[in-house]
Amino acid sequence: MAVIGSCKKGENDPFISLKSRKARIAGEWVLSTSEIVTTSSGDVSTTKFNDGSVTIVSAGGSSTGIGSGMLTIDKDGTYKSQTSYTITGTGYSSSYSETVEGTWQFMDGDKDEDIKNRERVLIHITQRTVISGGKSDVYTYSGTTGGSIEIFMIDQLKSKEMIINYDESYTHDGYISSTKGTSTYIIE
Amino acid sequence: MRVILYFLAVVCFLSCKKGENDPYFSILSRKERITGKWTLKEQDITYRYSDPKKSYDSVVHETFLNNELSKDINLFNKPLDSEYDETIDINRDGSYERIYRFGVVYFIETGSWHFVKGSRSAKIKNKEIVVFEPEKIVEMDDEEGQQSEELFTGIQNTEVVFERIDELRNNEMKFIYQSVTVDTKQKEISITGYKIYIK
Repeated sequence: MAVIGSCKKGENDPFISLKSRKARIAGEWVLSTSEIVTTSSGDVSTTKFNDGSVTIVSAGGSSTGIGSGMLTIDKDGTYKSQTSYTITGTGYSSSYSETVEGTWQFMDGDKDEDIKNRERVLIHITQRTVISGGKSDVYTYSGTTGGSIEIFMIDQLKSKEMIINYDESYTHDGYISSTKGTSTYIIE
Repeated sequence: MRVILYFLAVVCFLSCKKGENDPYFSILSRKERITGKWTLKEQDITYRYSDPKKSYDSVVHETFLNNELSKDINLFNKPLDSEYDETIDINRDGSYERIYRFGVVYFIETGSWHFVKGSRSAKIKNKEIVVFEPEKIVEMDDEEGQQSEELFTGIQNTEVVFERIDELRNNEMKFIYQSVTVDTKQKEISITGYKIYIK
């Protein structure tokens, strides 16, 4: 039974686990490391996060700062993510924080896309709070088809470590934009 | 008696109602019912934008009937009408093709579809929501051919569309829309209405 309940789904999942996938994903996850590369019209920007320090490298130069990230995923289906960072450069400082609240559920697999069952997580957002430049904006979403959604892909789900993959691209008549990378969360 | 009860249990297991106005039960599974070529028959959707600082709301009432899409905008004197038709070909293998046409210009959208599992926390029933994930949208013109092409790839498709099924019969399907977004300044955007497709 344990094997049935816990066969590997993510590309780098443990081969077997005594805990179900739902039991493993539930918890307070703290962002440990991350590297995200975004491309837009040929401009490339790389954001790296490592245990509280943030580095952003783009064609215009690089800047550094501090930041944090946390995902709270409950077995009851509720979800909360908190991200914040402060970037400082010569003569400037910029802060950003975002809190997303909502519900979560595993998604079914997709054979065409080579995606396994419970490999993707769907977030139905009910509230998003953004604080940037000293200004706070709160958006609430409700209704049967309301809200905004987010999808993330789990590359590895262990009891105390989760790796999320980002892979998205858009092409329109020569214009290309993309976001690719990974984030590693741990339970401390 | 036991056989009858067993039969009813099997039928109900396969096809008990999920959408609010689904048939009570159906011999065909939900997947079997949704697959096929659907044509838009009727549409009635209201988009409302409210700003507490303004004494009036901006309202767009969009209706479709008899191949005519009409947008009645309350700030304009008369509605904007255009020739329109729309089909969605939903395939059993998980692919779909949606074609929507405004006169001589039309769009071909292809991608994958799947049902969403039920979720108590999100208050959705199993297979009540169908997700369309477009992979390609091609803009065509009857006279000038292909005009543009948009490609969406990767695992986080930003163009994903959620449709809530209110009713799914063998030959008729109804999507309903009911959402409200409110920002810090209490500005509100609401969408309410429905779309009905027939096979």
